[in-house]
Amino acid sequence: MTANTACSRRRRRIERAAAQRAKVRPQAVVIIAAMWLLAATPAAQTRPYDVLMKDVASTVEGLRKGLNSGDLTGAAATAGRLERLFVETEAFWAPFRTKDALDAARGARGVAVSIAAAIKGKDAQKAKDAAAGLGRFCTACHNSHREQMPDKSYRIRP
Amino acid sequence: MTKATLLFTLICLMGAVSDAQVPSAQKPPSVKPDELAKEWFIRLNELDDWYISFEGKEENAVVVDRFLDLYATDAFHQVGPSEKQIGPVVLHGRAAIRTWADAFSKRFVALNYRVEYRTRSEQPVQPFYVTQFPWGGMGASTQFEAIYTNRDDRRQFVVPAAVFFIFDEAGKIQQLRLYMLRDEAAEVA
Repeated sequence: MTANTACSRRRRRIERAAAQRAKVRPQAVVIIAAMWLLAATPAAQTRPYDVLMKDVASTVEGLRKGLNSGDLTGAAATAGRLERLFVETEAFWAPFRTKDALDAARGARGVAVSIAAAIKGKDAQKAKDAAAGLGRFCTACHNSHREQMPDKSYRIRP
Repeated sequence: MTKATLLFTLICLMGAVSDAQVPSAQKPPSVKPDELAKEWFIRLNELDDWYISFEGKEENAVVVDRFLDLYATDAFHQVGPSEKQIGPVVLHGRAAIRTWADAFSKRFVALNYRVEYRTRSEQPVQPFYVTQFPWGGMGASTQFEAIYTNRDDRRQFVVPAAVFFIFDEAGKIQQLRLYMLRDEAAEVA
């Protein structure tokens, strides 16, 4: 009698635990999926820095052409793209807390914002003037952090 | 006569063979403590000579390894306090010294720790004070200028400093004491 009671108690405990596990499982799956997504998102946004810099160079070139040809609609879109590229540049340097590189990325982003604002205000000359100030941020960072190798490739100095 | 010649030749040969068989380990290596100390300065200054990969990885392991090669396995490396630790900081063993070298390598750029030349009678020299210990091994010390730039804010400093080495017979650093006179540090404008 006592053995039967103990046995049934044990069975009930096991059943309760199984039911609890069944309840927890979907939550756990959601939490794990959320954590995975959070971890995966920054990695997915990060791309090799040389690819990013080449993208910056071609976008700046595109912006200048757009401004010179008077295509303000296209130039506005390009300025917006440039702003996002400098956000990406800043994100690359953020973990290293390297002030001059971060300042250069922020400064260049500010110029991109100014260009976009000038275009929005239909002031092409102001946009061109702002674009002319972009190069100094590029030069400052390259002087400090870009080194050319004998094979003409570049590497990033800390 | 023939026997004597043969015996003489045999003795000469034995002598030559025994000379050749003396392992170089028995002889103390011809290392000069001042040269070893100079090599330490070279490799310390190389700790900023690395790159960040395009994927954002700090690739300083090679220069840190080269620096650590100068130390004996159970070496002591003592430096002054920092903002992270008060009092003397004694690092024992390569793993601990690696941690210090890795942090140092990532914290500073444009490293230029240099022993100033003294010149008299048109004879320039970098003074290293050296000694031979009676139990084996050597010692060296010198004063120098530590010139470095903070990697994060790019501020450059000059700090008068001194270093004392104890080398083992193989020329590896057994003990190193680094003094940095922070109170006399000057920022380079």
